[in-house]
Amino acid sequence: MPIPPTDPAPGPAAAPAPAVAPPPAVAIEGIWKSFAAPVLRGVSAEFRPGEIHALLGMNGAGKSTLMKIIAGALQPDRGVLHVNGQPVRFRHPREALAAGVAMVYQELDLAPHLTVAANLLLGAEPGRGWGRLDAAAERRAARELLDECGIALDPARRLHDLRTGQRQLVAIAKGFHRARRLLILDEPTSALNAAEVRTLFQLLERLRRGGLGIIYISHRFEELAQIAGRVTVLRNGEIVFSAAAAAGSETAGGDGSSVASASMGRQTAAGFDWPAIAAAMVGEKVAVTRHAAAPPAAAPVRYELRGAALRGQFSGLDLAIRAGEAVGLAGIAGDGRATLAECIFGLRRFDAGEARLDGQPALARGSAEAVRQGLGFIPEDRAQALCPQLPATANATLAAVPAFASWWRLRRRREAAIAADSLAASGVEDRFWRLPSRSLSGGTQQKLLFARWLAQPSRLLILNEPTRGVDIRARRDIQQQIAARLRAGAAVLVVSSDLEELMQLCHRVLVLRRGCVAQELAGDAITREAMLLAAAPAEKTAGSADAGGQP
Amino acid sequence: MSHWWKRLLPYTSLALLFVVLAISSPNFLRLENLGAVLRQATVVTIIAVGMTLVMIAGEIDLSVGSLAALSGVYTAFALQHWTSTAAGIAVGIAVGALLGLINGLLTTRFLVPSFIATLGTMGIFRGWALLVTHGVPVTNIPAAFGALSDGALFGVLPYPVLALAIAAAVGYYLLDHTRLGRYCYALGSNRSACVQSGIPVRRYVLLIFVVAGAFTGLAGAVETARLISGQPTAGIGLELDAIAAVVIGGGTLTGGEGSILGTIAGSFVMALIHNGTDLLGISPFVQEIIIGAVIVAVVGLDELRRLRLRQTEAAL
Repeated sequence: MPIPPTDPAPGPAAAPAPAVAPPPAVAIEGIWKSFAAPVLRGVSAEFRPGEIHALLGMNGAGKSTLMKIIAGALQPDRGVLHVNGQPVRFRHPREALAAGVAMVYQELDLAPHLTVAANLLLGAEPGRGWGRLDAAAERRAARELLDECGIALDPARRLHDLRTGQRQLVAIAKGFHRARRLLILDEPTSALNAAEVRTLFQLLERLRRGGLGIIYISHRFEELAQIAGRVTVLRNGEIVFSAAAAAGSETAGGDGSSVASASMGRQTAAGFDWPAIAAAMVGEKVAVTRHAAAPPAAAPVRYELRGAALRGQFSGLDLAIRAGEAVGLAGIAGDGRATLAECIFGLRRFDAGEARLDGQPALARGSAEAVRQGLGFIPEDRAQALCPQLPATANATLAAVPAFASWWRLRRRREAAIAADSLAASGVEDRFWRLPSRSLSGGTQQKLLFARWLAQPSRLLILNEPTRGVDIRARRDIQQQIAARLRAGAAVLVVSSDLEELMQLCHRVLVLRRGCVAQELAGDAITREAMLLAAAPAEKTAGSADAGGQP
Repeated sequence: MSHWWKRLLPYTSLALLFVVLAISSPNFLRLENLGAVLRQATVVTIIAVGMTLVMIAGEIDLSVGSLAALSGVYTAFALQHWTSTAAGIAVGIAVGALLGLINGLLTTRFLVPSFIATLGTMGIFRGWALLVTHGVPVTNIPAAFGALSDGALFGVLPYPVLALAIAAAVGYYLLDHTRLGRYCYALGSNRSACVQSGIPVRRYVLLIFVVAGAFTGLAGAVETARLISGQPTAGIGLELDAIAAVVIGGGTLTGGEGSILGTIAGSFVMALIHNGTDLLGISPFVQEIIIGAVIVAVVGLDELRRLRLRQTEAAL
């Protein structure tokens, strides 16, 4: 076993002494990292054993880069990592693992067809020589590990028979098995229901009390309020806020017990100043140019959704978008926004609800019907929407094929004209038109998808993360595209995690939380703080969390 | 999409093979020999035309050998009944389309992956053919139909080659000049992009199997003419020859690429290798080795070329 022993003996009884601060499990000092631009600028922090350290920050703040550096997947340009007081240099995640630091990549590194035991011990299977497996020893080791983590699961079950929450527990146990000093968890609850979140927190609490350091990345203030011993906010590559729970206390171990009871569902007022944290995440109030001109108040309602429901995702949702209006959906990953967009476009079916487009019933039973009705959709992942081998022109006209091709004939000139018009209007340079779409940049691909919904005119355009992963210029171009569609009278629904983008584009923003509209913001009331706090209020009751979950 | 000139390898291989054989064997260029090559290649090439559509769409049809035999058997039955050549061919095509519909329904409605579904129907169609014929060839068909395979239009264009030319023209037109063809490429390139563009994916996949079945049914009718009987055991292993033709011609198992002209070139490459090795007195055992090596070499070289193309594209 390559795992070094943990410093404090594991077990609930051996909580670290509250009086003296234990040495940090991992400390970072003056970490700098640049890619095209600086991403981390001199970040220093300490991650203590027996502490759950919440890390917050908006998209692009540098969180994931920092975590990759700590987990050995990236090397810093400058700065030092200390493990147990000793400076180290991880050149590979393997070396971080050997030093007891692991990042849990949710379900990504689990094999669904293997058993729980095989997954837990993957790569470290007990053998009997000559490559033979010792199945009994594997089961035994898995059993011990699950017991140690307090997970009640049969190690012989296969991963694909487990629920998402149970798989998440296995992923964490696997990380714990490999690295017993510091575990990094990235949004571990995004796919879990309330009951699963409680079980997960019990596991984390147990590991924490055993002396494990945990870095917990999440945007759910209510969850952080339950489990975090310390909150650190990263913005533009710098730490702008850091505070321990129960004001001023430097030892996480001391208030661990109150944190523990909170995680069991009792409501507590953990000592974090959430509005200050939200303000720290957002930063100074930079003037945001709002691209969208206000639609005429008398503009007719273009799209209307009433009482939309989908089990486990959302219920009783109402939504109305006027012609020329952009409505944003804000919230946290896993709060039903993306699913709602897919249901509207007919990629999934609502369990209940009624939809109207320009007064006509428009509850699409499939995407083909949705397109016929006049809906357009640009998914979060562009690769899903593009045919990589086909040229830009054919990709642009893919939804409009019936306009120029029939059973017996494809009018190439007509297609070329449609493609040229829509591509030019969408700002795709003509030197790209004949290239296969796989060779285009992300920004150009995104413009190509806008061209698709110009070639096939759409009255309601649904956009999921329209500018994710594109450069600043492409971003501006795309936002101008959206503004142009609005001027032409289309209704636009924007799902985005980029709060600034929602401010720039939207006339109104609905903030979803656990499948319900938590707040509706309009005009100048759309601010980053307002969206953040509405999506993830720190105050919560045990009841409200239970409402969204199913056992 | 894949303009034929973008993928030169199948054509250059074909031309090279032709030149080499013309030089090394005095009999190769004789009209009778070339005619025989064409006639022999007809059935598999017609099947490969249908297979091209299926494979560009990212599916596969392993049942074509059995499907051709079963359509051929029903062609023979129809000829016994009506003695009309047109009726025989029409029945062959219709039965093929119907069997293709079964393949398509299994794939799109019962969601059995086409590899598995057509692996199943490969056995089912073969058993069906043996059952309805009691394992005995269906003979006693009008001599005029059998004569078709040796005859020629205006004395120059052999009828089987005419059938191939029509099939190829229809396939080419479908693929490059109709909505169905456009969707073939799109479906094989990225299914989810088709869903998100509002294309009724299942309907088109179903249709592609029906069209491929019709082509294969025509091939079955041609085979019946060639053998002057409906043979329930005809066409065993043809599916692999057809797939090889598509792949040599630039198609892939993952879909999105391929062309009718490439497939025809691929099929003729294999026909020329068979013919050439016969003429040169090379053992049929070695023929198999050569054809296998050619498939691997052509596809391997093509992948290399495409890798480089992709790198230059990426550098743009």
